[in-house]
Amino acid sequence: MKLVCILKAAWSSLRELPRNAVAQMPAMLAEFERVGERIMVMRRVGA
Amino acid sequence: MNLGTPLPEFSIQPAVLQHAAAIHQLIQEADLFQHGLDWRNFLVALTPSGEFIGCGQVKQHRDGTWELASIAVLPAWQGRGVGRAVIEALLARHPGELYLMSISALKPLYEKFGFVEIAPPRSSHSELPRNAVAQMPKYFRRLTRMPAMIAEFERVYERIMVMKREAA
Repeated sequence: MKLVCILKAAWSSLRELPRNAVAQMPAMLAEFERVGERIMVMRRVGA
Repeated sequence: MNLGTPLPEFSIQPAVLQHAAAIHQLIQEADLFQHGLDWRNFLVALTPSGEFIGCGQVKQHRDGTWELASIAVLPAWQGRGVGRAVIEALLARHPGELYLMSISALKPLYEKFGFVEIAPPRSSHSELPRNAVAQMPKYFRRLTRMPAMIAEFERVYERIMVMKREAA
């Protein structure tokens, strides 16, 4: 879930982003791909 | 001897101010996104004695969309239906259109609650298909484009170098 957090943090407030967050992202993306994991967006239609 | 209905292990209730610190701590320990944790948006799971054991929220973004987020349960209580109960209670309070962002491993869980994945990218680095992008609200569209942007920045950065020529 950490990558989701970093993405959201980067978008919400670049100034508050941990210094190493963006630096970590390429390695995390590579690890996600290695284990076959990815980020998804899901939608639930209103009742 | 009491043979009546056993007491429920936990209940789901709207958070109050005194839960704010526990919510922040659990979200931090669960490695979830730590911004936008206004306790007033949260429901909390409590034991009969009032002990905080889990939480979740639905929050609104600037583009008007609503997101199911911050679903977390204390490790000792995981696997006992607490997270499911929190999600069900949140969905009952927010019957309209909802979005969520998660790792794909949790897709089967959220599908049980009626969520459908918006056309998946080929991989984290890939650009999303145009039809998928068109289905997403602005907030999620930009978020999901970031990995590809970062990868591109990294690729470009690798070509940048500093050189020095000593004086003759």
